[in-house]
Amino acid sequence: MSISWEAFLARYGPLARAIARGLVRPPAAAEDVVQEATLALFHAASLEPGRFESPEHARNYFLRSVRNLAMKTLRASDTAPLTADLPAPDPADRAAELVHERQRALVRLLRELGPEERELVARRFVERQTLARIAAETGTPLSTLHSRERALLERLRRRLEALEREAAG
Amino acid sequence: MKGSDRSPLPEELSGDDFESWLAEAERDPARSAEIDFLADLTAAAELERAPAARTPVPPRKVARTPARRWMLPAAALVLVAGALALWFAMRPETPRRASELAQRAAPRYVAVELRDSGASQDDGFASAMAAYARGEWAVAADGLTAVLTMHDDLEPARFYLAAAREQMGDLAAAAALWSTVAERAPGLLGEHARWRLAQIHLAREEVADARRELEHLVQQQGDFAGRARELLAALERL
Repeated sequence: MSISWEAFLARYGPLARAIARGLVRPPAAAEDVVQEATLALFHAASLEPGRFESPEHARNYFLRSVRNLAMKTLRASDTAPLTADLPAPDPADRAAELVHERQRALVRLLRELGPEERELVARRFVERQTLARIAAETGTPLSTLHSRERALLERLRRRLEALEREAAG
Repeated sequence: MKGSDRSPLPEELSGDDFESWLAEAERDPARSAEIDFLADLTAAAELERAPAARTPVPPRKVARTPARRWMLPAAALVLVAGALALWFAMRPETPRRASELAQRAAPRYVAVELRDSGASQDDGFASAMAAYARGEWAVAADGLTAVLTMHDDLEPARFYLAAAREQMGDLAAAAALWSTVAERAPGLLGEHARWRLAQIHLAREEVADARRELEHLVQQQGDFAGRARELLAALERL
């Protein structure tokens, strides 16, 4: 893979955990699913390094594994293996530092949001609530929440791109 | 479902929509960038989970020092040089005894899974594994023992309890636990437990027992078969 494991997991680990937690209970079982998917990718990349040269391809394989394993766990309550011998993190890993920088930049953007938008982010991307539940609890029409979310994500993405252009230039 | 109508939370997607989501990303770099953005946003929201619903505090401006650009490469060079020197000083000699072939480092639990929410920390297994990841073997062993009292069939807990016991020097207890996991757990976990059991036999110079477990792994033709074959060959060379 053209980026380090640390960078890869720093970037996609949280999303993978969110996918697993959305499908599997209890939390430890979701953690096991992500752990097993990590191992599956690690194993596959060891056997066929060329196949996973692109981080995007590795990402898709990883996220697909997470979902498939979570669905399998739902069906069969299998015990997932938890062991791993992944390479230790490298403190001088530039790719991982870039991922962390991008995530910290997004944190700064989240802190600039107004209260309603912050609440929407907290409910959706931290608590992973459905829009239907938020609509029921807040009394905001579902269609309004849907539009608000799309606009918010688009604005955050544009702001992040602008920040990255500034940093690069 | 069109990309713009799709939920940004992939766990809400149906199986077909999830596949379309990834398939579109494989064809279209813009869609791929959207997944990366959602991954980063999820990570950022986790980082920000406590302040996310509170009144924000303006971030402090921290001046970047001009030295920052060369400090990281310099530190990396120093680390690499140090690691090379350490490797040179500590490179292994040819083993002469079976116990010198035994791998005794604790199995690693991937730390990224532990950068986690409070909800997961409420779970006994996750709390015990957090202690395990910190190398607090006695705390981890107590926690995992408590988990097994409630869930006797949770073989991952038994596996890491064995690992913690081994790190505490209680090889007999570790061997018994790993033997149980090797018999009960399917797939990779059971194989890894048998592999660790073979290491304990080697550490105690119980070569015949170690061979038996390693040959079992070779016959299973699983993920540990290659390593078991190499270790059997190394034993032959003693």
